[in-house]
Amino acid sequence: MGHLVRAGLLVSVLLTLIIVVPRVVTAPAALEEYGFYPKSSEENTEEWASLPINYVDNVICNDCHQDNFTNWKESEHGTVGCETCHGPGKGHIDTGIRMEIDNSREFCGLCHDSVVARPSEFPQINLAEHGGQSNCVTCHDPHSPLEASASDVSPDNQVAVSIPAVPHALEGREGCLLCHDIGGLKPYPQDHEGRGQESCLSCHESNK
Amino acid sequence: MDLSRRDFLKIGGMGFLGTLIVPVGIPGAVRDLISVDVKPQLRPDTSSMKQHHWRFIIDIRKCIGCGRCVYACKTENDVPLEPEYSRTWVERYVVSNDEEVFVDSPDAGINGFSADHANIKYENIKIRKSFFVPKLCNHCQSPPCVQVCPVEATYSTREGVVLIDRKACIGCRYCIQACPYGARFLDPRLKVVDKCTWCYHRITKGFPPACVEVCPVGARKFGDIRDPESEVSQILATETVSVLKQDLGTEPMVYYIGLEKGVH
Repeated sequence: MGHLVRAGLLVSVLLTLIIVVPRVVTAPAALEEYGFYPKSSEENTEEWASLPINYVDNVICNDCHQDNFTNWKESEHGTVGCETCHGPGKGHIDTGIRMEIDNSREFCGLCHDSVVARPSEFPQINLAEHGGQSNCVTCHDPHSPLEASASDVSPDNQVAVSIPAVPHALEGREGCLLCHDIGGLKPYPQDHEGRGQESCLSCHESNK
Repeated sequence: MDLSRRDFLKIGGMGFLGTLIVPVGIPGAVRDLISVDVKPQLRPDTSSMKQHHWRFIIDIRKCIGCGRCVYACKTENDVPLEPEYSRTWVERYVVSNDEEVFVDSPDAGINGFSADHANIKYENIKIRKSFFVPKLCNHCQSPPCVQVCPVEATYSTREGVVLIDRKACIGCRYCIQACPYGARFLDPRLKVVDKCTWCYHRITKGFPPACVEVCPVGARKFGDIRDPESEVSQILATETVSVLKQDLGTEPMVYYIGLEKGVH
């Protein structure tokens, strides 16, 4: 009988060794802490959280660009963040590099071209026809789109000024008064009252 | 060898008892392996964000399909610019009078839908309605991707954001198959899976995700529903919201306003 007991015990010990020894010898130290698979989520979560941000906040832009900021905030574009058009601001803030500004018609068209599925109440134009082929910013101030471009406003004193050149191409336009009538985007000067539309181009030339 | 039935059972019983003693005297690692319900508590308090209950709200009625969100996401998160690697993208749904549904998403929407071909495509279709549907990872509360990962390289943080451990991911793509929303892709550079993190690095610093930051019409909103003052709480108080593929039981945390039947 005794040898059978010993045999039984031996089997138990062997089984134990077969299970335990390989585990202890082969398993890395981290197994005790993390289990079978790399559940290092704490460290990984911290890693994701520590990545640098590139898009800052409109409020930061206001620190330096109050003039544009105020115009913009009150305009129809007031809901459009600075970085929506200007791109991420981190590099500009850190190193002062100029921000690239896309002035192309196509860029404005991303929002304002009339395409299928765009909500009808959203302001849209036919990009192929509207305003000839000039860049939109020639006429529209992007920081206040329903006003004329700031760089393009005629001086109040019309007398001493030579005849201003038209800053946009003229092909494909219905007529000057479409934009330059009284009440239009950029009305003609008051002293032009009574002059015929066809006469615009007898004095003004396009410089584009 | 002569062995009575009684002796055989005796010895067998002793052997069995012997194996029961084993777990007491061996290292914790092994105990963990044997024990069924001992799971390491590794859903840590990584930050003060653990209290947040984030929700992402997309207003389909507002989206104009400009694709600035797609661009911002890629710039913010260093995602390859090719459309097949997109953490967020914009789809256009066109429903015809016959209730036929057409979906397109040129370049994942990063160049908007302004290109000439975009309108020509639907020239001969009698359109009943059309709208844009921005998509991203839904950060499901019951995420199938987490369930299938064989190496537990993807998990939900305490605040419910589904993240990927890029060091642990073996690139087997099971999760890409499992995600019913197509939100995951294999990063061609690291050969590991990538997807939207809700800009985890931004929300933990108090900034909204980049796509929310740049949306010009406020079609994307992000915030904490535990905070009654937050924009998402205010929206949820008045608007009717729904989620994508609710029948799958994934419990998405991205809510949609104006979600049309047939959007999947």
